[in-house]
Amino acid sequence: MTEPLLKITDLKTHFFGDDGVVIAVDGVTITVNKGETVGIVGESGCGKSVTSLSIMRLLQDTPGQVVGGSIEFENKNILEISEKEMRGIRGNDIAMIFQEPMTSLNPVYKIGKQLEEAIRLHLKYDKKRAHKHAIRMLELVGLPRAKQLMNEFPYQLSGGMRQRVMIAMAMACSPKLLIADEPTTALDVTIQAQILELMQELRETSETAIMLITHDLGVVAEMCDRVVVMYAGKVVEETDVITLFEDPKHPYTKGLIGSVPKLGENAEELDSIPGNVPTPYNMPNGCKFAPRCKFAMEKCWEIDPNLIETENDHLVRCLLFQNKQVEVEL
Amino acid sequence: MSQAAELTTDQTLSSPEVKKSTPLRGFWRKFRKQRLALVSGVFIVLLLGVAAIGPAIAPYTIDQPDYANVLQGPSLEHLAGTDTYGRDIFSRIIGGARISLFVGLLSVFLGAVVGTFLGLISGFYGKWLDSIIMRICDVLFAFPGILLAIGIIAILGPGLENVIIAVAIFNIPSFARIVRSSAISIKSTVYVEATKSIGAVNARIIWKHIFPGTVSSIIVYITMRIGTAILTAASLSFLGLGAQPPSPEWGAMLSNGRDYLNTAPHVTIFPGLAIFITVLAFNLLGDGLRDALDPKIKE
Amino acid sequence: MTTPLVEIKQLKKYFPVKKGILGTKKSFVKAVDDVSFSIKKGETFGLVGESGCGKSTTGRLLTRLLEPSDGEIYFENNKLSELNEEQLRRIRKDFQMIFQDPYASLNPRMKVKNIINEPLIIHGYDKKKSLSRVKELLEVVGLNSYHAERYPHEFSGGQRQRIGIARALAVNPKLIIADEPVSALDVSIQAQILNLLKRLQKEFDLTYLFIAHDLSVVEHISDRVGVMYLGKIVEIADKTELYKNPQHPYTKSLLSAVPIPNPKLKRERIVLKGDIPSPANPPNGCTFHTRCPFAMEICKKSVPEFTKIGVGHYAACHLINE
Repeated sequence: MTEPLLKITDLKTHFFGDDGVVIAVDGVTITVNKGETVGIVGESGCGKSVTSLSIMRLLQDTPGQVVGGSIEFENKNILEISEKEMRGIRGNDIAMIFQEPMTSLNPVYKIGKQLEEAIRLHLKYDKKRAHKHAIRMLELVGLPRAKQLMNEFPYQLSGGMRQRVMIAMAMACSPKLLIADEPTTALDVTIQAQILELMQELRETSETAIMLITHDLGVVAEMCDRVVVMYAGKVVEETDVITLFEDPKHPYTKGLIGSVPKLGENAEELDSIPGNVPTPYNMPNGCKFAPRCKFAMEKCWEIDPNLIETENDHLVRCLLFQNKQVEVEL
Repeated sequence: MSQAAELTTDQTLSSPEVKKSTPLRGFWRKFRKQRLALVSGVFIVLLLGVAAIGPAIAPYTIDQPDYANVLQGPSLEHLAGTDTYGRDIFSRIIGGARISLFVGLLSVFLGAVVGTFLGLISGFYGKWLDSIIMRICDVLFAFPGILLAIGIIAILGPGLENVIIAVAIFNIPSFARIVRSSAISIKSTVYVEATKSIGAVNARIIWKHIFPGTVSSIIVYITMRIGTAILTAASLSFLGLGAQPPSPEWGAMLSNGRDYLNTAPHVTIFPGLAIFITVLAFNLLGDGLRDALDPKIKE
Repeated sequence: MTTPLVEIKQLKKYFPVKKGILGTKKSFVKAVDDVSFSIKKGETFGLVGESGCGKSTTGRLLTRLLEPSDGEIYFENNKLSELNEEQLRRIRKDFQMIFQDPYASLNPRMKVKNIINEPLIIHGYDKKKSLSRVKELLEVVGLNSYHAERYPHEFSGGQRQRIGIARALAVNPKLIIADEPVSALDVSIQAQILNLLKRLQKEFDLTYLFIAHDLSVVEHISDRVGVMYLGKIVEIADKTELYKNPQHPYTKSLLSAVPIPNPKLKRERIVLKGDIPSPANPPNGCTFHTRCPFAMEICKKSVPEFTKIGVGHYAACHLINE
């Protein structure tokens, strides 16, 4: 199970705007193994979504551009292949679901037509077979009256149902990797529970690896095997999910966990992180988290620490752990 | 977390010395890039200067006939030639700038004031008031502009003041509509709801929150309409419904030269050129302002 | 027991929807349908529920941003419907609102000082003192006094929410209605704002109506919680009681649906079937019966009564009456 499927190495994505260059992703290294669910956690602006768009090569229409690093999918650097080859991978081998399912579905086409088209394009099925497969996919994601749904338009569906359709579409070609960008954020709690359950089922029944991008630590705890925490365009901590919650090392991770009110805990005060996320125009020189860090030392303002391995497979980017351990090769 | 901790950490963003970004600065940054509009703006400012000091810089008097020099072509002495009474056309164009600009600016301004008021109450209160105001506007819109103005002058009688009133009335519905649509969208914003929740009365909401939100569209639209207003006023004068003969109003000057189009085309060409360049400048400025202020409105 | 600061009795809000070709057939969306609760002075009452359950409408009815279709609101024993315009305007300063979207709730064309100053002007405060009051308020909510000269777009989401809170505090209100005040914010900022709200409550003796969809947040900040579903309150209890001993199946499923940030915790989850029905066409009988895992015959026919279960614990479910 530890065969790497996706290997992102030192990815750098910059945005070239009117007011200068914004460094959205700053040297991110993430590996997703076959069949594994990796959570990418962070707050808005940490670069988690840009990372996923970089993988899908969906930045063309934005001022964004990958300026460094490599993204190897099944040992092939997808940053170097042609757009035609990429289209073959997109939707076929790597599928993506987005936060807002309404915007990802074309409002003027029927559900069935959109699904069939995706299936015919990628699996080269004939019309009849694609139709059958589409219905089977809708049933698989737990949608009732699948046959009727094929003839309905996206606006006739509720948010939860639309997200199921999106998942059906993404899973239709049995992708090797599913990138889910905040898949349940726009949904109600009870509907979120349904979608998470569905994703867990799919994970068990298929070989698909999932890269789950979210800000919700609860979702991470329920879904993921391994977690990558991002802050200001960099990975600050990476470990398995149990260790992350039991023994978080980076002060940001600790603060994030402390910030979440926990059901039944009845805390008087939350252990919040002071201050705000730095904007791209006032990025600190040293450690990006230093201005908000309780443990910040003088050298934290000068040195931007490397990501180092503190224990087995537990990576942390923090000077508090720097001296004790050897640096990890990047 | 204590209050002190919150305070100290807030300095990560924005310290007092940081250069402030005001809406005006933001506008200037965008407007600076519109070269054509910038040039037009400079031209209009110069034109306004000419209009203000007008006759003082004109090489000749405006109204004094000089029968020795009738219908002379352009020369170094008379840059744009002379008209049927031997008056220097260049001087008359300079003198007429004041009239044309005055008519254009005042009529659009009056139309904007009334139209904005109607648009604000129509958009804010809605319901029957909105229906009445908008139906009246629809009726006014159904007339071709110039016909409407002629109709109004037919009632009020010819003359420059009446041209101003006619063009102003003709501008009211356009402003009412544009202001109404922004008023409706601002009315439904959360910050207006927040102001209501504080206990603000309607007049305050309209004046302090909705009106400032429509100002940028109004400014853009005023600039765009001035060109048309100058053109309409000139047309009316050309038809003899506006400024009367001795007046150097540009439309009246065109009218004065129309009998000599074949023999002395310069009598019509130069005032025509003045109208053309001025209207163009206002329209280009309007386009530039639109792109910088309010990309939503399109003519 | 002290007298409640706010009391809501059988509050209803029906929005008319026109149907038919001529728009003559009228039907109603029952956004709030027979809701009653009271809030004691100094406490935080949480209203929790999913989208379309009527929790925000309830908040807006309380601030009189919307007129109720039926029912009564009492504020310090004053019946709001019996007050005239002027009295209502004066009493309005006693309840202020904090909004969900910190980007939309501040006028982008106004400086921060004018935004915070606005309630002071409206309620006739001394003009000479207003600027110092604005600066004081900014510091109370954890910003700096020099922020007064800036425009909202220069601030981050969390800072904007602080400005919104400062505006609400300006006229020393008694009740603050917070409609999803942290749901648009990042996790770390959310915690800051929650801590700030708690601190301000102690400092200024405030009463909160806290409206949110996030149960963990509501549990953290509230003393008592009301759970809403399709325009009705299905359960009210003390927060510890509600989380330890939920009675209504909807409360139970809602609690079990919240993802807990603890990977080792394995829970029995009640996953509800289907979607929330449209409030324009709610089911007969108990509105929850279409999704309820324990639905019985009676649930389809009759609306369950709101029954007392324990001290301050009420629920509307046929299972309890059995």
